Amino acid sequence: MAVELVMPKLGLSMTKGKIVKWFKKEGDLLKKGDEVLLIETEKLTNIIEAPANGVLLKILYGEGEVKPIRAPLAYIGEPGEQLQIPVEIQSVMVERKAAAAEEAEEPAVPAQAETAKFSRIKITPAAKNYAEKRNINYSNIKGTGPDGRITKEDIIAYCEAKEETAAAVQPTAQLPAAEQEKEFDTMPYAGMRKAIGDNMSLSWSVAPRVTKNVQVDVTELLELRARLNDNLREDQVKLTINDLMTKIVARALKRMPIINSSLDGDIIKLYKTVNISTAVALDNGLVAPVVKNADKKDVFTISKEIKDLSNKAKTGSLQENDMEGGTFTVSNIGSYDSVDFFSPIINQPESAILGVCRTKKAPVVVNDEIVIRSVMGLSLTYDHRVIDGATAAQFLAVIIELLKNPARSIFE
Amino acid sequence: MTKKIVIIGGGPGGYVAALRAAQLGGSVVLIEERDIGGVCLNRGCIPTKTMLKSAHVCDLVKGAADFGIITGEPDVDFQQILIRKDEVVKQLTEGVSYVLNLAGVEVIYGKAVFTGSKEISVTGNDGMVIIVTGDEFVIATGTRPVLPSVPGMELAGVLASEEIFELKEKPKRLVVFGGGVIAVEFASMYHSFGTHVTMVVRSRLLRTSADKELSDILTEEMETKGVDILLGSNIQEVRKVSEDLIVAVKRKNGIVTEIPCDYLLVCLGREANTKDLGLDKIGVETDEYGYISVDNRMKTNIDGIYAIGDVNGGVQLAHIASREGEIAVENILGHDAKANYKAWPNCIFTTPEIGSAGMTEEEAVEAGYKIKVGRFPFSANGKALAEGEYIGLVKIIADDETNEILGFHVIGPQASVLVAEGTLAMENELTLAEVTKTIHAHPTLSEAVAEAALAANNIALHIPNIK
Repeated sequence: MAVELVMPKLGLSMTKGKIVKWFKKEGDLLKKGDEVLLIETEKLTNIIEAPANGVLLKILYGEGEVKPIRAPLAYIGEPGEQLQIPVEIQSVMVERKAAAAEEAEEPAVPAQAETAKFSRIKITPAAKNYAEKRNINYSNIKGTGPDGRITKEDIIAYCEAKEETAAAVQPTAQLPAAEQEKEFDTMPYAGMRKAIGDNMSLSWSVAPRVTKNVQVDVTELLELRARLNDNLREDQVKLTINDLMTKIVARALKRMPIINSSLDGDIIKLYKTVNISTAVALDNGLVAPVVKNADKKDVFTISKEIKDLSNKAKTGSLQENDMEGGTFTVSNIGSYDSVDFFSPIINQPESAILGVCRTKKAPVVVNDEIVIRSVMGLSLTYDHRVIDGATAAQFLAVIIELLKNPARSIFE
Repeated sequence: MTKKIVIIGGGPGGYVAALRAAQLGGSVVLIEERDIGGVCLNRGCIPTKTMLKSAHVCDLVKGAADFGIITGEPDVDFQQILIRKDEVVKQLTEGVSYVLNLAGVEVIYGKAVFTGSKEISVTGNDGMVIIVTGDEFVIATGTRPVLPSVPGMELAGVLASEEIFELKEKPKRLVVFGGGVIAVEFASMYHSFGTHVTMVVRSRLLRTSADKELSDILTEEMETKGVDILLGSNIQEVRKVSEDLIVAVKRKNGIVTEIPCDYLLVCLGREANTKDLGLDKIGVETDEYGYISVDNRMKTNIDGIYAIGDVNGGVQLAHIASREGEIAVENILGHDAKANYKAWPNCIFTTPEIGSAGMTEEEAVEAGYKIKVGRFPFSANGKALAEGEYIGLVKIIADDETNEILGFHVIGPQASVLVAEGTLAMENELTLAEVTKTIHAHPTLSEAVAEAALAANNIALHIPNIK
């Protein structure tokens, strides 16, 4: 029985994806996990792997096509196997064959993995230079030149239209004349950037948010980390503050389920599992893949998982599984060594997010004496519809308590 | 139902519109007041280029010794020049009439006046009046030369540009008032024939039709040849004193010089032929100069009435009129056509010739472009040297950011032909790279084009690169 390769759902808001490039062709032998195609959503470009071993029997849709999530894109099975292709798809395939035959004259240009250049676009040389100098993705601009060629005018009109719709959505204050004369480069507010912006705006407007900040003593935590990293087994990876904090936060969440929740209409869901979304910064945005059951996993497993997810995020290979099911987010920006506290925005539809900031040495009062300790800022933003100030304060108190004896908190 | 289209005016705008309309299946009536071919074929483009050829032959023969051919001083048989000119004009106008006939266009001779929005009365030379009705109308009546209001313009011997063709004898002394295309061509032509020519130019030569660098080169060349060019000068009045016309010229420094001549040729400007068309009766809007206002589909403010060519005040060139004529009838016959050309060529047939398309350097800078300019002189081009015609250059103006070709200007041999490459490039938004990548034949003048494109990026091969 042939296996369907479907359009995955990568993230809660994804409804469709665009096929950018097929890495394999019909007839290729695949192993489970092989990279088969590249798709693009608003948020990311992602590599889809083969779900099973077998021959790529049939590719249903070509590069550039947009399909809804869960739509079958290809079939993998035994060579020569008879496929049961649903009738609706069959008729589409017939149409496509006819169109392909007509276009056979056009010399095929090798497709590239980057988004804007995956098919041959008719555009005048001057318009192409103009667009490239301004980082304008012209692949979706309609051309009005001969043969549907995109002209410079088309690009200018496209930019003006985009500005107009942007201006219509948000009334912008009139810039003073001096401001308007400044020179600037542009980059598009589209794709992942825009998706993040939309999500942030949503979160901002939906949840009445309060942030509580506390500076915690992490001297013991750092010492534990150092000890553990000095004594790693072969298969274990170096632990980071983030790994340790993820584990500690998972334990704290187990103690206070109201923080590990989500408001859905008129019920508050108190999740039974603790799935920590860990924020990963990318070149052009950020994603938050999920470490599931963080309370049950040991810290080394968590560490390895976070590293894997991070790599996947950076190479655009996060799968549907990796993005789903988060119940709480930890956002660690300590590595930049530039922030002591901040006000993270809640990752909807979760109820709270913990920002973990930089560690530094600071004078601290211990037993009425000033000593130098390692301290770290924690910033907890919570949804006040679900969590009250006292509850939030209590949660931070739990974390502080756990940090007093990190070895016990992490390993018991 | 076949659409009946009535076209008023049989010049390069009107007759091309008629042919295209017939091609697209329309039923066409063409009304012409004077001669098929209009000013262009009869009193403009064609006769001037034909006589200019005679002038070039004269110049070539005068300089034949340089090429090792011994002839002696040439004589100018002005009558033969005119005869040849008439023959060429006749061949062309007859040819156009023939093609119109073959296409099924009905040609009516007479003066047209709108008597209703779908009706015209045409009065023939014999006084007979015909009423012509139609579904849609194309006004292609063109323009006529206009004389300035300077005292003495009405004197015999003062000629508007088209009238000079009525001269049956070569003038001994000719003053040409004006510095535009028509003025320089006539000045150049008559000078070659042996007439003593003085040009009175209010600003500089070709102020509105050529890049300043080119106009400066032409001015120098013409002066070297012996044409008197008075720049920054104006004519105050013209008097008749016995056999001579005395032209009083106010010079740039304020001093008034009196120039005696046989004829004064005025080439200052043109006005639209719309005064007695009956346009006010049907409500067609014109501007203060009489030009009919149109949109980019050549539509006037009245449904079913179009205006093309010189009469709508756009670019006053025959090839633009022809294109506009096509656009108008294409729209009438159900196709969606707009005037959206990115560049058009403008040619001046002096020696050296000038061929221009796109923006001048000044225009590009004013439009806000940061530009790069590539120049290649014909003195470095093998073919030009072989021809003995090496005055001039190719000048290409490009957008510094995208390398898009914005302007293409040639002064020199065959400039009117070389400009076609530039027009093609600009119409298709090509950049310098496309021109330099294309192989140009050796030894031809066209290589100068490729080299100028290279020079714009400071990588010319056949001249040193400055900077």
